[in-house]
Amino acid sequence: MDQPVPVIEARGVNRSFGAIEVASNINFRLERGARHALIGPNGAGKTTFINLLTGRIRPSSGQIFLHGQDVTRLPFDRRVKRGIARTFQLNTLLRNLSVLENVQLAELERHGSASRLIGGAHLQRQAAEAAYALLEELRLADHANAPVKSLSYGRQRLVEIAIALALKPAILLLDEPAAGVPPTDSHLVFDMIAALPDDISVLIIEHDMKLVFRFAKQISVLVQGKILREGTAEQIAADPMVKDVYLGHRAHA
Amino acid sequence: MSLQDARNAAVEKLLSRRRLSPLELLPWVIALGVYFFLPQYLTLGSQILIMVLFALSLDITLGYAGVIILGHAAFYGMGAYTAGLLAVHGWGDPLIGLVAAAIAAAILGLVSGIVILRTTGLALLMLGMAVALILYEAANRLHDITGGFDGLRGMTIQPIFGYFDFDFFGKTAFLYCLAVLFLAWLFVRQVVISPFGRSLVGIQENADRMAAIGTPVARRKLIAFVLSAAIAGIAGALSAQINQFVSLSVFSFELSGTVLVMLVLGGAGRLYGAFVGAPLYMIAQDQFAKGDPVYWLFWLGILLIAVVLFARGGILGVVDAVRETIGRRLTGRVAVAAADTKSSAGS
Repeated sequence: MDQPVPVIEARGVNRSFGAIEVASNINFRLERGARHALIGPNGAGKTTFINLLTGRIRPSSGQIFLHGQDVTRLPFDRRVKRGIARTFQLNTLLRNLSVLENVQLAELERHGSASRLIGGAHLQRQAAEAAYALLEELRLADHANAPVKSLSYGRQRLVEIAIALALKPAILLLDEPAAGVPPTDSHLVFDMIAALPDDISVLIIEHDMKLVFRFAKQISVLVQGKILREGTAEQIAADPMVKDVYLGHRAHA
Repeated sequence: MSLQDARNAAVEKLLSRRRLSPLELLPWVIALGVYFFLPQYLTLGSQILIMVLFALSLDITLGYAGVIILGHAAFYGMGAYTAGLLAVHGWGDPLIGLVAAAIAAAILGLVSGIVILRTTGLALLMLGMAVALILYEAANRLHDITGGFDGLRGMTIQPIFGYFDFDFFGKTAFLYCLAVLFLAWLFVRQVVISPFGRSLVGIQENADRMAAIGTPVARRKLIAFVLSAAIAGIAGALSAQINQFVSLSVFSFELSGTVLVMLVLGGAGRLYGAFVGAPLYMIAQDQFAKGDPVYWLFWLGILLIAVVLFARGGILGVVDAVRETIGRRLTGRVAVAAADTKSSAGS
């Protein structure tokens, strides 16, 4: 084999909801250390594709590989244990628990100590300390003991990212991480993403093209459940078909 | 405050629920007070302790794991019949009865949980009811073994540890129930503050989020369900042993409903809802039933509607809200006072 094994790979993945095909014969590779963006119009199936990769939904046919191993039948939580972490397009948080505990629970789960029934005080302390350190990095430490629901939506987006990072993932899937974040705060999110360690492979769904071109080295364009184009940022930026479909330029109309 | 101090303070605050507050000893002080000063209420007291234990077991599933089930009597009844049948057939040691009841109820919890926990909402509610109904009917049909509609009689309960005999005044029975409840409380308290218990709270808050951090949601709910069933079985066994009688009503829909009402009244998911709701319910019932039992149900209905509409956290939820409001007012006043001092110092 000449090519390196991709960290995550989809082979011929299909999925339909009733008559609507949301993923149609998708072949996709996320390389180690990638900064890869997935773009496409609303309803193109981008979130569905992330759900397929993480196992939140199962493909009707096709296979998903994680580090070269077939994980098509592996449930979501088991894939997480194998190094895949995601954020959600809409905040999916434990709203009544504190910011610190949201991250601490992820730490505990990563260490495999979350199933302890008795004791565990020192594990809880260690996990809380590690979680707090992460909150400091994301400038959330002032809100550590506040319930998540008391934070602004934008700060809650950062909590989503903090939880994902607490899992120390090899693969990070970011589903519109800045969606709903006020423009004044979105730099917080993107500075954070830009500062991610190189060994994390990142796939990001994002609508803001400026941000996509700033961040991504590889871009895939998804339209109606199909991968329409794939290439480097420069190739995609120059592609007339992408402009036509995605940017809505009807040059030949 | 240095950064280090801020971190320690935040971590301590998160871990503070692990620390035992003096208030948590209140139920035990009250129970011992009843034993020494109100001996005429020991019989009612033992029944209350058993229902507290039963409601406490339901709190694990309903309050912590967020599994809303209306058939918890299935496990209580399983425990009652297990301990009862053992005592009828010459295995009258109470502690062996408790252990056997816990195991039988846990197995029932495991088998039924694997099936019914796949569902949620209304389907889960109905399936939980179905399990209790099936057992009710089975116990009714197996007349030769269970005594059917006439109930199970003829138990011989041996002294506890072969030494403490069950007396006519119910002193031993009360202390026995109290000791079992205390041990169960210690265990449940450990569980709900453990990493496992907190992950249950997380699952109740948002199962998707928990799956996304790698929590095996279904398995953890099942473990909680089995633990809850085992403790309900112990409560049923206690009831069989101190009453020396088991009737079909241990599987009844009414009992499933009553324990749910007790817990919701006290406040689910707070560990102490059972300690508030069950005594309140049973003491009120005892008092009102002397007058007009229909009247009692009427007021209970009104109270329940009020709790569901205005106090979702039950009585303890209201207490918490009041404490929080007072606390906020106080800190608010302190902050205003501090600002005043500052501005007057500045001027």
